[in-house]
Amino acid sequence: MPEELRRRKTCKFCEQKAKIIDYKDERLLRRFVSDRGRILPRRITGNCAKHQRQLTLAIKRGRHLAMIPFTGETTR
Amino acid sequence: MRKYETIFILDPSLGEERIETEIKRTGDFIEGHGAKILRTDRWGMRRLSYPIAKKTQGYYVLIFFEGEVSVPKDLEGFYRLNEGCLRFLTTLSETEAAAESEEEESSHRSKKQPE
Repeated sequence: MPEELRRRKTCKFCEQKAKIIDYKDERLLRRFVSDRGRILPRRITGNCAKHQRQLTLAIKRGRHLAMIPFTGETTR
Repeated sequence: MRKYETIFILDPSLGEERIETEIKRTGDFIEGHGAKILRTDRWGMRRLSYPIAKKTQGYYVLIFFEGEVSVPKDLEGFYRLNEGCLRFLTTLSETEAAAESEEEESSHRSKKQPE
């Protein structure tokens, strides 16, 4: 793809000047996991390293509290 | 003194009355250790993303408190002994801390401006 067509991904958290990523914000965390519950890599989300680290911790805390799944939604 | 937040999930099969007493008991435990409860949020019954102890729902309670560093450790022991408690997590309250540092920053800024 030519350089000008590739959309430059930016870190959503930097844009919003977010100081913290809250593990209690379920809707936010869900945006950064795949439909199978895996944490999306920076390659896809475009997050910066700092915020990706914070996000990872928040997602793991969210999983512990059963707010978001460890695996896909349909665990039976 | 530091600000903490603790969240715990109670077994819904305890019944409403027991849930009330457990919340009160946890609050009393925190206050009994010289900490001050800043706020208690009840999220109420929520569906769990995955079953815990064969339960599909849980009663979520979030407590913000301010206390010494020993409190979270004691609180963990308390949770572990409580069989009605499915999950718990105690962390430094970043939301509270962020709100505070912002206040500080803005006060610094207003101080600097007259120069």
